[in-house]
Amino acid sequence: MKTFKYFLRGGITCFLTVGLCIASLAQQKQKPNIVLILVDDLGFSDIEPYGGQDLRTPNISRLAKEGTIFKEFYNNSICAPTRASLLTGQYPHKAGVGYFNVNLGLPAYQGFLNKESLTLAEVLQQGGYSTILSGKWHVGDDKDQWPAQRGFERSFGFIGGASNYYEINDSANADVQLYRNNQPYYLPKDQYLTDAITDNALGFLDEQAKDKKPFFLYLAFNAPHWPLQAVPEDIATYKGVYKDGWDSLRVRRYRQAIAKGVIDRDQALAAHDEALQPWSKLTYDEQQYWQYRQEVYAAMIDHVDQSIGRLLGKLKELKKDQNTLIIFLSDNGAQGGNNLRLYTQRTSGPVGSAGSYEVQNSNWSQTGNSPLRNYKGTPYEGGISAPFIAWLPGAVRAGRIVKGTGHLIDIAPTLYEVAGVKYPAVYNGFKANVLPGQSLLPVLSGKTDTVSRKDAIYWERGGNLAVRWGKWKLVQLANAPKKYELYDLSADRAENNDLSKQHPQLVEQLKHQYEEWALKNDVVDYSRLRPQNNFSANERRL
Amino acid sequence: MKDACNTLSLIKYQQMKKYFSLIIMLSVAGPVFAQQKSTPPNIVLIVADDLGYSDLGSYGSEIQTPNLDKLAFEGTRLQEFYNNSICAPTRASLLTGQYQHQAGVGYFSNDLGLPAYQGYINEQSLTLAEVLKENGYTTITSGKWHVSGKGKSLPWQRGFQYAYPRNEQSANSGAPGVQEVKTDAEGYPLAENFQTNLITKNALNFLDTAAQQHKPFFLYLAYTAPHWPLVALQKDIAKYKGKYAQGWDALRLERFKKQKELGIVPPDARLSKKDEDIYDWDKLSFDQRQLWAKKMEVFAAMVDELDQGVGEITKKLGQLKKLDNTIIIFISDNGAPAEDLVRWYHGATKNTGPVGTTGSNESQSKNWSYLSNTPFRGFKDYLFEGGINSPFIAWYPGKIKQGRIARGSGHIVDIAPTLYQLAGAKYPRQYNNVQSFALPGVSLLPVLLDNKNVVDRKEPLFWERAGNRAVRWGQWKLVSHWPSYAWELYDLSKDKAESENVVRNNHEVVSRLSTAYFQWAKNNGVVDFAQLEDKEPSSMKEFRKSKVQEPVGRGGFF
Repeated sequence: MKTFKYFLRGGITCFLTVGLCIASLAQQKQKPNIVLILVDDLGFSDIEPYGGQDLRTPNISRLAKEGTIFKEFYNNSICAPTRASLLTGQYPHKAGVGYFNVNLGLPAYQGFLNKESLTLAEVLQQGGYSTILSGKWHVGDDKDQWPAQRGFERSFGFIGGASNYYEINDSANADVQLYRNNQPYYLPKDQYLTDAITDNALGFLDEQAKDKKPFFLYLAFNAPHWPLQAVPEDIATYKGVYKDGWDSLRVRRYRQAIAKGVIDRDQALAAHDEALQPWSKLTYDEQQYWQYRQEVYAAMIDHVDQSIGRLLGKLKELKKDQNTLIIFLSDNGAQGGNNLRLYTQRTSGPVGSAGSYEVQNSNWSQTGNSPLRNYKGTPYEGGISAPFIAWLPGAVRAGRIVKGTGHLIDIAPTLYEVAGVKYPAVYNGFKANVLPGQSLLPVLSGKTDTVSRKDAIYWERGGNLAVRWGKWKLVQLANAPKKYELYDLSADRAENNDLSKQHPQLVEQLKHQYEEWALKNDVVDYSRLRPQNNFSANERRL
Repeated sequence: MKDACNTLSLIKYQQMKKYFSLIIMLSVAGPVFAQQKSTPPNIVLIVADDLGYSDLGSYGSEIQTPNLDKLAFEGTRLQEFYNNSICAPTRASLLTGQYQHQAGVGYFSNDLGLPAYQGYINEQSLTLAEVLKENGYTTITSGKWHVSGKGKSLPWQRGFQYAYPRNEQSANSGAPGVQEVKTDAEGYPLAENFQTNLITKNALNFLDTAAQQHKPFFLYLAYTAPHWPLVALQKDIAKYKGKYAQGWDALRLERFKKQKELGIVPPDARLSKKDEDIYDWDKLSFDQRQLWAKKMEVFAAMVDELDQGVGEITKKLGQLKKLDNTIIIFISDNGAPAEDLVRWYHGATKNTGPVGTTGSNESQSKNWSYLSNTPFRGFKDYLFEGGINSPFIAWYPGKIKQGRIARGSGHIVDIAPTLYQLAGAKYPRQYNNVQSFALPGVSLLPVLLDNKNVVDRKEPLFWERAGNRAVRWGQWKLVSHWPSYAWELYDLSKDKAESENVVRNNHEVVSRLSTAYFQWAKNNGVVDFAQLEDKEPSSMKEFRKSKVQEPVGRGGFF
């Protein structure tokens, strides 16, 4: 318990024996292997254990059934800041990625991980782990910021924020920019990127098995992030599944989330996004078009699940399936936006194929985030709350649904505790930032069913900010700088009822807390940083 | 003043008659024609609905219109034939020879509370059917009417002895649908009750009846095609499968090229500029292109079916041995439309089947109408050329010049004087004890029957529709687009694309044309649309809004 206090105070300089806290883990002779699976833009109910029964995710369901899941697990609402926090245990600004993988001119917004924020790979490698990344990076574009330069001994994937799933050019003019251990890698035509990510991850595990060391695998799938591209056979299995449209499915997902226990019975469904066209108002041809898009989206998730199945098979083959902690989470909620991209960068084939480049819209994403409010990019629950599953047979409690909040910044202290590795005070001559999160081992091990969290959790991204403190949540959006909203999430997870007028003092208190946090994390008023025109072109590229 | 006008008109009419006799004497076909002088020619006036300038083969289209093309190549076409930019006002002018406000249909089939805007044809404006019936014709109509209201001015009240459909609701409607259309298993209409076919079939039956009466007949055949909703027979849609995969940008160039080859536009003509909100076909996603292409396949099928109907009519005329003594005139009521039905009603109003079936209710939107109106700018309900300039074909074997493409401006107000002159019909000064309005148009017979290659028009032409205003006088066109009052001036002798506004360099022309406009407006009961705007039904405001497409944004994705 002493360890936890250290974490809470955020001043860890040494590390106590992990086994004291977790009997089952302590009994293990070797340190557990760790697989951290991150999926991209997957909404709260976009997998079966969270209410997405229209999807087939048997392997993820198995992890959930045999493991522990969270009702309220938070991310930073968007790719790069989430990944910065996940990889370092820091709030994104502290890690240098306060906005995105673009440099806005201040250290907290430099767009790549700073050296004071140690990555999971750096810390675990130092603690005796083999370190592997397969998938998306997105926390540093320049080569000195790449995974191999930040502690990953083996790495495969792409550096930026999005990638096509299929190559359409020959190797001399490759469109899909992949690297394997810092070397350019050509994705053969007709090979699906999710498979390449899985193949490389499993290949690395085979290689690593000879090292006689525990491993840490960061498996960062880019699915189901746009572009909507999937394997035809997978798409075909979802034929007709979405013919009833997004409106009824959103309600069905909400009911199923309650049935699954990830949403409390007395919680309401978030108010309908009025900007969306009701399904019944689409033309027949539009309905065909839109349901097909969702079939593709489902197929993308399905293929991730199949890949997790392959991973589980590999662990078993390597006889590591009883000694590997798997954590599954999404980087943010499903992608919003009502502006159908009529012009796309690939125009030779239908949505789902290599010849297309389609982006999700709010209509299906509202269903993906059901029953929560809003989308990726905002600090409403639909933007920042997504599935979290932890699995380790015999060590992580099976079939539990945790109460209380978890956040990305908790992953680092959790893994370091599980691995029994020390978080160094100084690394490569840089004084390491202290870790603000807390280990989740007490709830994972089953010692308690509720996260005990004293500190508030904070968000700032592009001028959208939020504070979660106990049951309360303060929200303020960039487009309404003076308007603070207050929600009681214990009764209103849907954020339907703004209570700021009823609790003005609480609003002031949370604003004050936010200011303190902002100061400590070098967060500045976004209006001072707002990118100019030359930036938007840069953003588009990503 | 009106009496004076009438008198003047009648004098002109007498002169024309003399002139006409002269033509007969000079004509090669003189003897035959002279014989027929006792039996005036039968008249078939065909109106298509929302058909754009380039939607027929003889005007540059890739759509298969062999029957109309035959009429065009054996007859005379006009390069420039004007309408009133939208259904009801065009029909009011066509049927009466009056400007629309004078006829009482200044705005649409809605009553906006002033006589010039009552929404149905008034009694002082005599219809073609009334005049021709008075002069011994059997009068027939099949198809769309749209100039009645409040139980008044229905076709059978306005001179038509035979009318289909004979019910008030259909007559009043701008987009009459046949109720309870029987369909095939997939929802496409069956041939026997498809609207275009019903209009043709009823016309054929009436022709059989008329043939027994030993009188000349006048058939006003007002097709509803190719007006939205986009519904057509499956077999006809199938003909156009894949034909629109190139998209509107490339096909517009093809049509323009063909128009030059046909001589329908001058060799030095230029294409109009593309509206900013019309999408670039090549940049659209594959799926978007599929969705759009399907719509145009249906539209093409609708035009094709209309042409098949015209083929049926000519076949019948042959069977009845009337081909030698029948004039056929074909026109469209306005240019192709910009309105998007789904946007207009903020969502689909029918969605049980794909576009083309009766389970859909869609329009081709301005993207495709941009192709239909090649080479012009603007759409239905605009007073740019794309809205008001559409095909004119006149066919009368042995009489009307074969293969001629006449220049100069024709207008729908010219149809009445042309037909009356041809029929030797007297235009009554009084009808049902009501003083009738004089006819403002000119007879087109000189360019149809004589060696004149250019319509001889001294007076300017005028337009006003929902605040859009225009004057055409010689080479000049003065135009403004509501809610703006700002005049734009184009020299149509070299800029039919209306791309170079020369209003600043031609002060005197603007003054002259605008003065003429305000005089015309005063004489015709036209008022500033600002006075009527709040009486305009809200659905028409939505209608206007639906003509603007959302910009292609990047959507704020990251």
